[in-house]
Amino acid sequence: MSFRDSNVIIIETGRTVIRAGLGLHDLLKPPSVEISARVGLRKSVFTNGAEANGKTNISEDPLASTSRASSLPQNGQRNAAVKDYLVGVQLDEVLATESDIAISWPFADGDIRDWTQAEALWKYVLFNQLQRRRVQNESPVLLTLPPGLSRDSHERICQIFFERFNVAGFSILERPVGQIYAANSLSGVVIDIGHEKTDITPIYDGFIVHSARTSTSVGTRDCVNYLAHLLRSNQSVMAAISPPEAPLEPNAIHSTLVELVDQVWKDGHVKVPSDGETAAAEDEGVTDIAAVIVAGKERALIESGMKKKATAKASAAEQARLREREAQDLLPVKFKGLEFDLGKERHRFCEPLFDPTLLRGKTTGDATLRSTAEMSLPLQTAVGHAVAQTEVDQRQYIWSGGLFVTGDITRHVKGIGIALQSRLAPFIVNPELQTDVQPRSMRVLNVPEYFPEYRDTGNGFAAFLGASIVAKITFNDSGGKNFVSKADYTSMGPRSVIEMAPTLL
Amino acid sequence: MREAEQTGHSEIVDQSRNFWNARPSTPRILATDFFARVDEVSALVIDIGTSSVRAGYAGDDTPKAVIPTTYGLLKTAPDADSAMPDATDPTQATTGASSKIYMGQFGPSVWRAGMEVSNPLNDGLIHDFEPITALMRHAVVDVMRCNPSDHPILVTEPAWNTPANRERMAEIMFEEFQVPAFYIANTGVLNAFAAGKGSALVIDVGQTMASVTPIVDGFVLRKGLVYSPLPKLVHAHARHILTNPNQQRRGIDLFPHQLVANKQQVEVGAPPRFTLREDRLKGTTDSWRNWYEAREVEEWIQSVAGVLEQGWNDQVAASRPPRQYEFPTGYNCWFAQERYSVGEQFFWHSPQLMASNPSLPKTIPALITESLRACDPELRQVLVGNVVLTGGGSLFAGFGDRLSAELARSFPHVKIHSPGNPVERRYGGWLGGSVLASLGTFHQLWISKEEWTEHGKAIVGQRCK
Amino acid sequence: MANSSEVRAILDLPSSSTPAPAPKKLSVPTARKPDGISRELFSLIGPSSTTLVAQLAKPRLKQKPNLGAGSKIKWQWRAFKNEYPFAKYNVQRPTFTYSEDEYTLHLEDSEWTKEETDYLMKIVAEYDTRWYVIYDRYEFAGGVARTMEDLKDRYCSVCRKLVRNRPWAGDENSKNALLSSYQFDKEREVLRKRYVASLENRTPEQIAEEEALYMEIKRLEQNERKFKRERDDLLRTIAGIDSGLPDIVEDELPASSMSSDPKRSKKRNGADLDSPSTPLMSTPLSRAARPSLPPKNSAYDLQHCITRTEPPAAATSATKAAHQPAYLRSFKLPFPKAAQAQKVTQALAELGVSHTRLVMPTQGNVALLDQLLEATTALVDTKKAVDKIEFDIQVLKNRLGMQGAAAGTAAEEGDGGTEGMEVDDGNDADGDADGEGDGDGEDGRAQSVLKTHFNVRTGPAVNVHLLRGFCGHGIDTGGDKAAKANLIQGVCCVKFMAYRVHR
Repeated sequence: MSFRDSNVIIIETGRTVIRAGLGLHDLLKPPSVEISARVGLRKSVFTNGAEANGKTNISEDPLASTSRASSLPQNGQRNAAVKDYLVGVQLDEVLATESDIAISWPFADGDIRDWTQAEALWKYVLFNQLQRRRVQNESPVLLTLPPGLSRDSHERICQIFFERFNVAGFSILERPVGQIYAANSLSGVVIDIGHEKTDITPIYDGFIVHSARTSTSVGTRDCVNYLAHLLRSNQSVMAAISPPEAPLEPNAIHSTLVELVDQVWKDGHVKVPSDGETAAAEDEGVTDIAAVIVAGKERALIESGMKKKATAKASAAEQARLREREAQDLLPVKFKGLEFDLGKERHRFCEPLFDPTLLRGKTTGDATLRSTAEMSLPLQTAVGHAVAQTEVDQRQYIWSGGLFVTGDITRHVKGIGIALQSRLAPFIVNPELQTDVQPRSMRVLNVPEYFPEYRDTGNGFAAFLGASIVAKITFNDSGGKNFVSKADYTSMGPRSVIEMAPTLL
Repeated sequence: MREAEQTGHSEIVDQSRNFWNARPSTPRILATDFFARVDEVSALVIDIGTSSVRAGYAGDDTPKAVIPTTYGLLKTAPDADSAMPDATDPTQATTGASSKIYMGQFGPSVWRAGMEVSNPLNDGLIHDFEPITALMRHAVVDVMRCNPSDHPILVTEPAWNTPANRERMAEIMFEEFQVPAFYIANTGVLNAFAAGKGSALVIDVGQTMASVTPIVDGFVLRKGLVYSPLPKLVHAHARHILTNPNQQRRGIDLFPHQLVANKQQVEVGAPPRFTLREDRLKGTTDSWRNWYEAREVEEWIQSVAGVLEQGWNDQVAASRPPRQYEFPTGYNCWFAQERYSVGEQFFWHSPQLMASNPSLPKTIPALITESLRACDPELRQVLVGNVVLTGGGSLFAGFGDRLSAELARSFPHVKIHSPGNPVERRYGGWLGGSVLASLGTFHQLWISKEEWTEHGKAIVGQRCK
Repeated sequence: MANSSEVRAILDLPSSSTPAPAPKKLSVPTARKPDGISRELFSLIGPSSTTLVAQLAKPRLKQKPNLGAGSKIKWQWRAFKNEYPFAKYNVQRPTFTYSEDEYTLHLEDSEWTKEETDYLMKIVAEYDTRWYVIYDRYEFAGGVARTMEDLKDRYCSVCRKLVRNRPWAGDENSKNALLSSYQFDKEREVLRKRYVASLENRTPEQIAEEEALYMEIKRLEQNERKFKRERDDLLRTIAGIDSGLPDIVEDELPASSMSSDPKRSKKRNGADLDSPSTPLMSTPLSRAARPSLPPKNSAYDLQHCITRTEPPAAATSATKAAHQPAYLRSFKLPFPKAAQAQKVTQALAELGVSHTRLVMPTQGNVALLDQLLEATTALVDTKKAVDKIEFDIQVLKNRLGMQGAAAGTAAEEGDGGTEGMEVDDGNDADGDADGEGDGDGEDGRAQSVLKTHFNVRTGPAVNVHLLRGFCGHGIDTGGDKAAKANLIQGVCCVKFMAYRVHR
C-alpha cells in the first residue's frame, strides 16, 4: 500500500534538537516544528519515589555512562512515566517560572539515554505539534536517528512507534545518509557540527562506513565561548554591557557575552577565513567576487553595496566616516537596548573548530571553558583521520565525493567547508599523479540551489531535506520494501525494521 | 475526548514501561510463531585476527565493528595538565594504576605523546587476554552498542589454538561478559562454510600468518594443518624495498600524516619538500612509529604491489606498466618491476636466501605440499578441487591466478574459490561464523550458561570439536 | 468511533469486571447486516437470501488499512534456550555396545586391547563414522600407530561379529544386508590406496609419457574411425550398399558429434585427454570411449546363444505396430525387388547361390543374404549404368572417329580408337594396369557375369573413370588411390560374402 503525501511525517532527531514536518509537497518544505531535544521533570514530584528506591539520577541505559558522554545533563528517573515529563513549549514556560526542574537531553550522546524521555519527546511532536490522533493515525513516519544505534534500539523504537503511537507505517533513516542525499551525492564525508560535538561520517556509495565514523568534542558551543572570551578585551563592548557605574558579576558577564555572540552569529555576521589567511587579510580583498560567492557571502556584499548607494547622498564627512567604518569592518549591534560596534574579531568565531587548544586554560569567571581541550581533535585532523580509516580503494571516491559541512551553524555561517578543504590538502596527492588508487581531488558540497525553500537555510536543514527525499521515495513505493507497514509489524514484530530499512543492514 | 484519550494512552504507556523494565536481560526468541522464529536469537560473532577484531550480528554479510587489534598504551600518571584525555572517552580503558589503553579506529592511530602500541596476538594466538577482553568489550558495547548479556556469542579461533586458550575465552565470555550462550569455532572451518563448502583446503593468508588447513565434513584434519609467518617476511621485504636506496632513488621516508606538518608538490622522483611536526617528534615512541610506518607500507602494498600470474620472469615483469605512488611527505615515484618482487616472496625463495636463513618461513606452495602429504591420498584430489583462498593478505593483485598456476603444475583438477569481494576475502572467518550461528541446526551446539555452570571448562572441548 | 474494548481501555476498566454486557452481546444470534444494503431492506428479506446478499456485498472499495485498532500482538522477550525443535529428525547411526562377556567370547584380537577397542567404538560414534576425521583425531595413549584401514577393519569386524552372534529379530535378508554393510576387505583397500598413491607419485616424465601415449591411442582410434567412415561412404556412393562391417555404425556416433559441434568436441577432447591421469575417472573413461556399445556384454550373449533382435526402427515402426509376434526365420527371407528380380536371380544363379532356400536361416545368414541381395541389386544397377555409359562412349567415339576422318588425320585414327579413355584422364595408366592385375588375380575364381563386367570392361579402374564422368568430376584426383583401394576391398567383400552365403 502507499500513502498520501500529505499524511507523511518526517521526524528528524538530532542530538539537541528535534525537527518535524507533516506532508510532502512538490517543493520540499523546511520543517514546521523545531523543539529542543530536552525534557524536564519536577524534582519535587519524584523525590519520594526516588528515595524509596534508594536510587536517583540513574539512567536506565548502562551504556550512557560509559560512552560518548555529553556534558549536557541527564536525569533519568526509573519510575517516571511519559506523562510526567515536561516537553517543548510547556517546559519553556515552566522553566521561566520554576526552578526545581531537572533537565535531561536524552539524545545528546548520539544514542538514546532514556527511553521514556525519548518517547515523551516523539509523542509531543506527533500528537501535540503535528496534531495527529493516536486512535485514527493514518500517518506513516520516517524517523531520522544518529548513526550506529544498536539493532535492539532500532527494534525498540519500532515497537514504540507501532504499539504506542499506532503509526500507519514506519521507517528509519540514519541522519548522515539523509544529509549526503540532500547534498546530491552518494559518497563523501558528512561533518555535522552540533552544539558541543561534531559528528564525522564517511559515506561510500550511499552506505555509511561505520568503522570510520567518529566524533570530536568541538561544536558551536566552543565557538560561542571563544568569541565571548575574545570580546572581553573589546573595550567598547565591555563598556556597553558592563559599564563601570553598574558592573556585572563575572559569571553574568560571560553569560551576557554568550547571548551577544549568539545573536551575532545567528544574524549571519560571521565569516570564515580559510587556512593561512587571517581574518583581516581576507577583508582587504573583496574584489574577488567569485570567492565571495563561493564562500556564501554574496548577501553581505550586496547589502554593503546598497548601503553605499543609500549613503551617496549623505555628506562627504559622513561618507568618509562610513568608508572608514567599512575598512575597519565595524558592525553596529543592537543588543538588549544597547548599541555599540563590533570589530573584526567576530570573524574568529570558528577558529576553535580548527584548533580546540585555543580554549585550553581559558577561563571565564570561575569556569574553565574546556577541560577536555586536549582530547578533542581539530576538525581537519578528525576528518582526515576518519577517511584514513576507510579502505584504501574507497578513499579517493570519498574525497572526490565531497566534504559536506552541516549542522545548525551552517545556517548562518558560510564557508566552513572551504576553510576545511584548504586544511585537508595534505591528504590529497599531486593531481598530476598517475594513479587509480590515491585521491587526487576533493570538493565541497552544499545543498543545491534547486531546493528553493532551503535557499536561506544554508546546509542547516540537510538532514530534514534528505529525509524528505527518502520519505517521498519510500512511502510512494507500492512494493513497500523500504518501510514497515502495520501488517509487516504484526507478522514480523519489531525485527521487521532491520530488514525493511535498507540502510540499517 | 482528548482528555480521555490521553488518559488511556498514558495507561498503556505505564503498563508497557513496566514491561520494558521487567525485560529479562537475556536474548529473546520473538513470540508468536515459535517454529518460524526459532532461529532468531540475535547471536553475535566475534572474529579476532592479528590486524583487526571483527564483530557483528549473525546472519549479516559484513561485520558491524572492525577495530584494530593493536592498541595504544600510555603509561604516564594521570595528571591534570599532562596530555590526559577525557575520562569518558569510550576508546580507553584503565589497565593498571597508571596506564591507559586506547582502542578502536581512533585509538592507536591517533598520535599521543608517549603512547606505545602493542598487539595481544603472537603468531595468530592470543597471548595477552587482558587487552583482548577490553577490545571485545569495546567492539560489542561501544561500537555495536549491544549488551553482551543479551546475546549468544560465537568467537573464532585459529586452527592451532590451544585448549587452554579456548577455555580462557569461554571463561571470559561467561564470567565477565555474562553471555547466555557461547561457542568457539575454527577459522578454517568457518572459511570453508563461508565459501559454502563442507570439505575444502583452506589457504588463509593473514597479516602475520599463512596457513593451509584441510577440512573434511566441517572438521579440521589436524594432521594436515600447516602454517608459517610468511606474510611477515613479505612485509619486511616490501619495507626493505622502500626504505633502502637503489640506483633509481634514495631511501623513502615513511613519515605518517600525523608527523607531517605540510608538504609541497614535487616532481616525480624529486626530493620531497615537507616540514615535520617537530612538536610531536620528541613524544613519538618507537613502537608507535614503527606500527604506523608498517601501515604506510601496507597501504603502498595495497595500492601498488602485485604478483606475476605465471611465476617470475624478468621480461614479463619489465613489460608490465609501472605505477606511481605518493607518500605522505609528498615524495612520489614510479614503481616498476620491484612491485612484483614483493608478491613473489609468497611463492618462491631463492636458494641462496634459503641457505642463508634456515628458519625462513615456508612458501605457499611448500605449505600446500606439506599439508597434502599428510592427508590420505584419496582425499587430495577432493581437497585440491575445493581450494578456498581467504585472508586479507591474499588480496594481492594476481595472487589467485598465481596460486592456480602453481597448483596446476602438480594437480590436474584444481578449483580455487577466491571471492572477488574484498570484504568476503578479508572477513571470511567472520562471515562463516555469521552463516553458522544463524543456522537453525546450530542451536543445539551452543554451550548455554547453564551447561557452563554445570560442566565447567570441560564442556568446551566436548562441544567445540 | 471507539468500540467497547477501547472504551474500557480508556476508562481503565478491567475487561474481566464487565462480564454482563459482553456475553449478552454475543448471545444475540443476529446475523450482521452486510455492507451495501439498507437496514430496512435487510430486516425485510433477512439473512437467508444469500444470492441477494452476495450480489449486494460484492461491489466494495479497496480495503482500507486497519488504522483504528492498535495491533493486538505484543512482542516480548524470551529466555535463550539452545534447543532445536527439528533435532529429533536427525537420524543417528545405530551404535554397538558390548558387554564384558561378549568381548571375551567374540571380540578378542591379539592386535587390540579391549580399552583401545572401547576407545575406537566411542570415537567412531562421536564422529559419526567420518573415517578421515576419526583417523585424524585418533589418539589412544600408549597404543601403536594405526592406519585408517586398521581402524576401519577393526570397527567393521567388531560390528560384524556382534551382528552375527546376537539373536536377530528381523528376517535373514535384513541381517545379511546389515552384515554386508560392515564388509571390509582390508588388503584390497590397502592395495587400492597404494595404487592411488602411486598414481600421484608419478614423475612429470612419466605423466608426460602417459599423456603422450594416451594421445597416440586417441589419434589412432580417430584415424581408424575416419578411415572406416570414408570407406563406407565410398562404398555407398559406388555401389549403394552397406559395407557390412558392424563397427562402422557404432563408431559413427562419437565421431559425428565431434565433427558437428567443434565447441563441444573440444570440451570432450579436453576431458578425454586429461583423464588418464585421474585415477578416479578411469572406469567411466573406458565407457566414454565407446558410448554406443549395448549395455549387455556381447561376449556373454555369444556364449549363451542369445540373439537380441533389435527391429530396424525406421523400417517397421512407422507403418506397423511395434509389437512383433513370433515367426519362423524362413519367413524373413529377403526377396529381390520385383522390378529387377529377374536380373538379380540370374546373377545369383551365375554365382551358384539359391536365394530362395537357406540351409540354416539364422539371423546372421539372413542378414548376409539380405546384404548379398542388395549388393547384387546394386551390381545390376551399376551394370545398367555402365552399359549406358559404354554405349554413350561408343557413340561419342564413333562421332570422334567420324570427325577425325573428316579432318583426314589418318595417323591418329588407330590410337584414338583404342585409347579413348585418355579423353578423361591419361595419367592413370599405371593405376589401371595395377587394378587390372589385381582384379585378374582375385577374379580367378569369379563367375561369368562378373567377368563380363570387370574383365571385359577392363576392370574396376574403368569404373572409377566412369563414375567420375557421372558425378561431373566429383572425386578428387588425390583421393584416387585410396578410393581405388576401397573399391577393391569392397569388391572383395562382395565376393567373400557370396562365398559365405553360398557355403
